[in-house]
Amino acid sequence: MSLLERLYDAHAQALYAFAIDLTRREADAADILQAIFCHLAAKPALLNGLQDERAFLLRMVYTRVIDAARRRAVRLRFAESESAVPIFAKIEDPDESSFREALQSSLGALPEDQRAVVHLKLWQNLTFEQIAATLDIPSNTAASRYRYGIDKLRTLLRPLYEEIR
Amino acid sequence: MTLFENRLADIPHREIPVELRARILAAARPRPSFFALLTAILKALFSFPHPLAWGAVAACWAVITILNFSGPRGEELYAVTPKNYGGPLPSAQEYFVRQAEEHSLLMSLLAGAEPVPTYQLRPQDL
Repeated sequence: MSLLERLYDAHAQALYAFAIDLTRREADAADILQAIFCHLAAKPALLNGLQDERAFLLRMVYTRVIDAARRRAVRLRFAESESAVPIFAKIEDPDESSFREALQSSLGALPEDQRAVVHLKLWQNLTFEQIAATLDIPSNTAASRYRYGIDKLRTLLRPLYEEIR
Repeated sequence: MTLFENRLADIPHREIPVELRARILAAARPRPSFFALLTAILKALFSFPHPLAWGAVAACWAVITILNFSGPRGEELYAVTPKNYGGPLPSAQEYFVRQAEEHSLLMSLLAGAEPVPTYQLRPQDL
């Protein structure tokens, strides 16, 4: 198994989830992943001496998401433009399904920087220090963005959350 | 984390499409450099026809070259050539005189009588 195959099998799911959460576009998420792996294939030395491959790759995803948004001249709110792409796994239970849809919609209502922190904290289990290193922000900023994001999600999801709890 | 946060964290994201793996790894596969490509082309070129055929052609050319340089060359080649070669080529004046004699002889033979007047070489012909 080559280095790229190992990296893909170990991290692609997490990178894809992060990319699609930020972009809300399947094609963009796939393109970002492909660009990252092509970059790593061209410069495998980037991985030498890394302590946390996952955090490094998540940072690459975030950088490319920002670059893609900048290239569009206007900083598009991906969530608003493409809210139809499901980011969570499908489930048969209608209550749970509607909760996931509401969560996706609520996440889309967060600013990108808050959404990125919330995603990395909740679904990637990164510490605030790791999130700070990944997004190139101070730890305190990461913590406060997370707090703001969670509070907003709680407000938006409270009725549904209380109902299905 | 609070119950609410744990509740959210337990929700799995959608799976990455299976076909993406092959597409991304294929795109990321290192491409051969220009030098490697050139080497491959040359190798393919010289492996067809069979190397033995290339060797045979090279041997033929070697034999031809050896034969070309092994025999007499220049004046020596004229010396051994069986063609009626009687020495150095005549000068222009000798050539005209000889032609005139042959012409005169031929005319006399054809006429059977008086020989036809031969050419008179003028100074400007010489």
